[in-house]
Amino acid sequence: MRELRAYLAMVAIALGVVLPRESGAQHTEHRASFDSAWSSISRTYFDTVLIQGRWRAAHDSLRAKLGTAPTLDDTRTAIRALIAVPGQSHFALIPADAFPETKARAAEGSTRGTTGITPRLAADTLIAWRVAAGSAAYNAGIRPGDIITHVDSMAVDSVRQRLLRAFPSSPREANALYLQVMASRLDGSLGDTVTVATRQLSGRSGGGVLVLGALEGRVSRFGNLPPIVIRVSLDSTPVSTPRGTAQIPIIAFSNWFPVIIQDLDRYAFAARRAPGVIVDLRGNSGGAIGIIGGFAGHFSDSVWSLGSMRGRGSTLLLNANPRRVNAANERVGVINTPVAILVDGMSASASEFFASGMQALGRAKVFGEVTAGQSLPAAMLRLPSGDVLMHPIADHEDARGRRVEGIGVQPDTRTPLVRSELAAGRDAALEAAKAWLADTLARP
Amino acid sequence: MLRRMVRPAFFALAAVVVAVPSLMAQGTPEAILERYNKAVDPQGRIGSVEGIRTTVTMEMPAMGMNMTINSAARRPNQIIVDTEIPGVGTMRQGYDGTTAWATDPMQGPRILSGMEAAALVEGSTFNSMTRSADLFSAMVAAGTADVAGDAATCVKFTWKSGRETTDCFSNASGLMTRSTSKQVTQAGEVEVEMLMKDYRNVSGMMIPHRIESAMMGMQMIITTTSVEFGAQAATLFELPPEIKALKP
Repeated sequence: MRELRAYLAMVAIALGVVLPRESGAQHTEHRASFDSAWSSISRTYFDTVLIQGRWRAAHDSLRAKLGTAPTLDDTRTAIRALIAVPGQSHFALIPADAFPETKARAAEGSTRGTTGITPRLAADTLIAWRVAAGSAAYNAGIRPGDIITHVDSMAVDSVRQRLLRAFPSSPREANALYLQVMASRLDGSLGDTVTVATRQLSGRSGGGVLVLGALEGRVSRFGNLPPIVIRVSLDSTPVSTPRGTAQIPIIAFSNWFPVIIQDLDRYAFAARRAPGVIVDLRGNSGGAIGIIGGFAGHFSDSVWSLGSMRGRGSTLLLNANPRRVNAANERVGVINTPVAILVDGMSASASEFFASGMQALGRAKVFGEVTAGQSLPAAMLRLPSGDVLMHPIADHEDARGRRVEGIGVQPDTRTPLVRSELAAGRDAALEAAKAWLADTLARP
Repeated sequence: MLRRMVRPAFFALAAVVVAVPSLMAQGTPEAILERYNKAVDPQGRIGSVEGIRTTVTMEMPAMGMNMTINSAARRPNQIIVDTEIPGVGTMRQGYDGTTAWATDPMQGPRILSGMEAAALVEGSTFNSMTRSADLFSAMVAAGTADVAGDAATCVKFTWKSGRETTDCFSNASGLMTRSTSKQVTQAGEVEVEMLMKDYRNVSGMMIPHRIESAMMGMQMIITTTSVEFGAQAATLFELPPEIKALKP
């Protein structure tokens, strides 16, 4: 998903990306791509008032500008202008060359590389939130809490300023895109170099030329999406309970994709033995909606709805299916202990479905920062040009009928990032969740 | 001169001949249904069919997904449907004559209930293939339609479970060319339109080999790759262990 967001964001801020130009024989195909994008969204977009009004007008205007012999570049520009009209998330045009088969990249995800820095915003400043031990960034002395001032000689705050100018009425959206773009700039292909300049808590300058190391995780290929590296882990943390210190499992994963279903189920079945569970969705940018109901079913003793998706002609409920049979086909109970969910500004889409639903139903408490507010279910259509169009097909409301798109999930306990805490190795969201679990478990 | 007169007469006659099936189709819902039954099963074979096995592919361009669906049915009402989704696994759904169930890698196992179960049970009944009149509590005329350039007459069926479908039958062939319904899923009702095309004779029965479907504006293309009539082993329809574990 990070890759998707990167492309979306690249469009928005024109970071100097030059799209390949073509001309001549493929004009018909390019026009067909524009028409296909327009008609697909026209058929599926949930806001029919928009479709009958501004949408059609935008089509007529952009189609006329395209003329009879558009280049691929012209077409992409027109489609991007078109999908900017609704002003909602999950509209993106992913260039064909993002896909290994069209770029002849070998071994797909194994070629993905990273500096080891996971960036976040602390008081609107780009910082290293996490730095993977042993990574290029770590070896260069970069540590959590360090301010990232430059990436490849680009002053990162200038990017943010450009985004704020591009989204004058929505600094939240500008910040979200800023973070997504910068995250993508800190990743790349294995062996590439990225020059990062930082400022440490002490005020000293740091950083260096970083050679991208392997991005750990499992490669997922799903539908029309490009290959994505998915990470899933089970960890634990001690929490004081009236019966002594208990190890509380922490289930963390980067995306909701089928490739990790078995791991999620295994971890969730194991978590039944613990007095509480923490689900860490920080940085989880979404995935396949179908997985949410199955995972939520580990925490529900009956079929309840996490929310709804209102599309053309139908409203579908996002139901949790109680998971009462384990992998050995034995009857088991569901998890009925307290659940804490950790989120941040990079938790989006399916993660927002899950967090908002669990919170609205009173089944979990949410800790961290307000989520991305990008919570629309989307389809991904491959256009005749080979580009993939992502577009929303339904509106989403949580179990209380609240819209999350553009707003985000509001944590029960907010824990803004503080550089000094990060530098000291503290995780405020996790600590807040642990404190709540300890308090809850202490009650009779 | 003669030729000038004959030609209009020929075309007028042709027009009448072409119009005859249309007039025939403008009957009662019962008559339309009877005509459909004769069109889809002209030799009345369905009564002697003990089982059926089909393989279809389903393409969802909006998701970039291609699935293979293998299904088997056994008289009178057992069914199993396996949908293989690349990158996900196999979603299974079945009815063994008493329990309607579903299981998939994402959602886990479920015993179906309510309208969702009723729809599967009705769909697994052999008579549903020929829209046997005893499956419905009501049927009313629902006007005419142009289905992809083919004039059709439509009937709204209320199935005994309470669900409704509006099916349109070609005036020319009598075959069903469009079905519109609200399909009941775990997530609720979804409006689905299906266009049946490319009917082919398989062992004396007319089977659509291409179905174009639309759901929430997204298109799906279902292509039949094989249909075989014949007895099916009872063991195929036994409840899987994860479903047995769910039963009280």
